[in-house]
Amino acid sequence: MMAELTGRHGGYSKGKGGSMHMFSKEKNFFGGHGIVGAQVSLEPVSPSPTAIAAMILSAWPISATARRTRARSTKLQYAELWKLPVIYVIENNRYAMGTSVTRSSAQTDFSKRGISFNIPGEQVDGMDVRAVKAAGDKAVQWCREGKGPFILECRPTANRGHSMSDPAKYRTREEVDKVRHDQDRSSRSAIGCWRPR
Amino acid sequence: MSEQELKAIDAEVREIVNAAADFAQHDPEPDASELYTDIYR
Repeated sequence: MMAELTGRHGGYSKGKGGSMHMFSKEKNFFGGHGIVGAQVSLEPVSPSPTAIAAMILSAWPISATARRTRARSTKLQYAELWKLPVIYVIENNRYAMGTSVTRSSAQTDFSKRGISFNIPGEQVDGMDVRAVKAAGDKAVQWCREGKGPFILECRPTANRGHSMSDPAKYRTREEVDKVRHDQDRSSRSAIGCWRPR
Repeated sequence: MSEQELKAIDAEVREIVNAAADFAQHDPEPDASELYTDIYR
């Protein structure tokens, strides 16, 4: 991973991808993707049927490109039909790059994204480590019991723009300051702390 | 969890990160022949 970040040959994408192209075949980690969220289409290649593929998706894919690609809905369809053990973790901080999800999505409860495919989902406070772990463990159990995929929507709070190139002009200074002030916990979301076991 | 255990985790993490950074710094950059690999021409 370090080698990829520093552009060396030994990196996951031979040093040519960088931070958006991280993955690990041996660890069943599908990682990032240049088109955020496009990796949704990749999960059925998971080498072992007992392995649980967890995908961390940001608010981006849901409001942007990937949601509209046919590949995504097809894979959700087959993930359920074949009862694949996949946990789709949607990290929804309520803002995409450029705007609020309420301005770009008619349905803002993303845990319901699987309804038309019969995939259950749950919302959880993305800033609460214990809540994320409890919900995550439940999702893992669901998969292990062979019941198929599960959608976990974690809702952390956004305390800055999407990236260095996002000045977050679509939010008021007061709102961002309030979020930063109220956060006495970590400024990072709790999702990174949970690993399926 | 005791402070001792936390320190042990800290040390372990540091070791992993340092080893990775060391590997990255001594790894060669991709060969020039790779420039057009997987690129549509």
